Amino acid sequence: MMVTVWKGLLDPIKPHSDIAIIVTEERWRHVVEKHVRNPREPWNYWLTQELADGLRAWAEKAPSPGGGRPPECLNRASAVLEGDARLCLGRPLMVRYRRKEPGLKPEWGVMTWQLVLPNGAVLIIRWRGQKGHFWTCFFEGKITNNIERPHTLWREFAKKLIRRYCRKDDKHLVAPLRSAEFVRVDKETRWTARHTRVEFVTPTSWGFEGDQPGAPWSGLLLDWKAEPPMTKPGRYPRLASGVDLEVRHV
Amino acid sequence: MSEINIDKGAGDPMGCLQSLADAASDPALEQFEGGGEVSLKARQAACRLATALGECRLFGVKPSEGLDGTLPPRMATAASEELIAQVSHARAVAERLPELWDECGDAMEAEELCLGLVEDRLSFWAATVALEEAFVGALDNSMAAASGLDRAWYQVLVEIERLDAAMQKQRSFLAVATETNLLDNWRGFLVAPHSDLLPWVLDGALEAAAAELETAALATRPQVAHTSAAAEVFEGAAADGGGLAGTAGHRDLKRQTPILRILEETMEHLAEAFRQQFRPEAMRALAADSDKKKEVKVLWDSKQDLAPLRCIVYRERNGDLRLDFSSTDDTHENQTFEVVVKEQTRPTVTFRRDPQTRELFGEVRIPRDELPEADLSKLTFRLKKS
Repeated sequence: MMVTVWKGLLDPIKPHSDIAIIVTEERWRHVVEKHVRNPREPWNYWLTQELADGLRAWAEKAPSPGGGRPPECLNRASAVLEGDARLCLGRPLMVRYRRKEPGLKPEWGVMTWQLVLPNGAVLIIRWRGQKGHFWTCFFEGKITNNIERPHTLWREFAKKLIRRYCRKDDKHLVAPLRSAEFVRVDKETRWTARHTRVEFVTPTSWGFEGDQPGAPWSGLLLDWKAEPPMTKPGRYPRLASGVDLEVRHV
Repeated sequence: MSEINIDKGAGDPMGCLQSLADAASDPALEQFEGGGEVSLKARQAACRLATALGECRLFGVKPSEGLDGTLPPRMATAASEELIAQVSHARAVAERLPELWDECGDAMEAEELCLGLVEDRLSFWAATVALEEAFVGALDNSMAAASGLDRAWYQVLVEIERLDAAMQKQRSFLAVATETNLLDNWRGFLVAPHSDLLPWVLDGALEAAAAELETAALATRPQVAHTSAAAEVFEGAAADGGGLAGTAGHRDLKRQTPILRILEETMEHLAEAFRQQFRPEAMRALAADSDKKKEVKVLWDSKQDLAPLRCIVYRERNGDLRLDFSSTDDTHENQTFEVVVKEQTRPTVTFRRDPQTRELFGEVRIPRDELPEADLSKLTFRLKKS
């Protein structure tokens, strides 16, 4: 069941257009069961103790078969995530790739966006056709023990992504080529997941010294506030202020 | 360590200096300036500082004067205590990794769990480098015993050994790290003597585990019937001026998961055959071979990543067979191909461009009644330009 739609988010790929992300109760249930319940993930700090407890209590109940209105706590939590997603897409600090794995349609890969939020959480969005879907959100590993200093958290996670996906040239890590492919094979089922066309969106906001694949990484991730946010231009050109327009009948 | 200056381009390819600056500016470290009790926050801050400083040592990055130095014994002891807790937690994760993998409920998060464990092991290594430096420095000043650093340092080594033992049992899970550039990047930027004293995660053990997985997958790889495939390649090319054909035999189409990758590779190999058709010398060779009704052996190369065409075959829940084709060749846009499976022409496939991803794709469905299970021991399919 759909909880909400995050509308009017900046599209970091096409800065002049908007995107919408569909948020469903099913995916929220996953996030609560696997992450909000995990005491090592600082959701209480992020969402407030009261809201996080509300989510945990909601997840204890079985999903209602007939649907109905989503509980208030889901709407509030969705609004918090939406706010951070807006910040992230405005910078943007996002890796996108096509993830291919058996059983996941389409089989040539699902366009996946991995957003690094300002508090260090990771938000995953998956695309089906033109529709973006909120897939999951979590805090990664042991870096979460410093939640009071969120700028260190997102930097640590962003650095991890850079170390995973960039490749080494002589003296630098450089942005991956779009043809690079990262394959993951599972032990038990031997399924193969592939991340192809890995792309650090707007490389300069990740600290790369250029916008092309192969640009070296400076080793620096600029502070969130120091990054000028991308501004959305109006849909139509407007007259600059100070220009007088006079209309006369001829 | 209060003055923080990071010079851009100061020979810091792995981004260690910014982490060091972040760690060194943590207000929790002020607790070490007094003689009071050290809180958990301060221990964690000390551990982060040790990790960041250790990374600088590992990668030969020289911090600025305000950031460089050896951890004082009291801070190193606190960092060791926190490190012991973190290593102990990582060991618990490693011991339960198969269960945790299943519990993740999402493949991507399961991979993240494994990758995170490998990354944690590397950061523990970095922390021990800085702590060892502090321990040796404290020995020189006879401060190690007084601060409790000697006991804590010894315990760190014991815990890491236990962690390694637990992780090594899960090598096949942790091998996901080999499919990223993480390990190569670490090895590539290490400086001596650290580059000669690698922890097990960097010494090739994970690559060996990945190779074992690959070998196990190959054991169930289908046999490719080269003879008929090659003949069809030529016949398709001669009759239609272009085409793609291939044969993939497999033992059990129900076991969908290993087959997918294998068929992807099969199609890569077939795509190479497709390219070969347009080379005149290859055409002549194929024609000559065909005339003589000889076998044409097509080489297998699963490492090709430039294949213009790819196909994934899988069985849907209702038993139908589905062939998904994608192409990276722009000339295929809006072109229609006949799909021939087991000598019968099936619905055609037309490559359309995904408006968002710009990729070309098409699909064909074959009802299960048309391809009974017994007939699938050897599946032949072919693409011909319509």
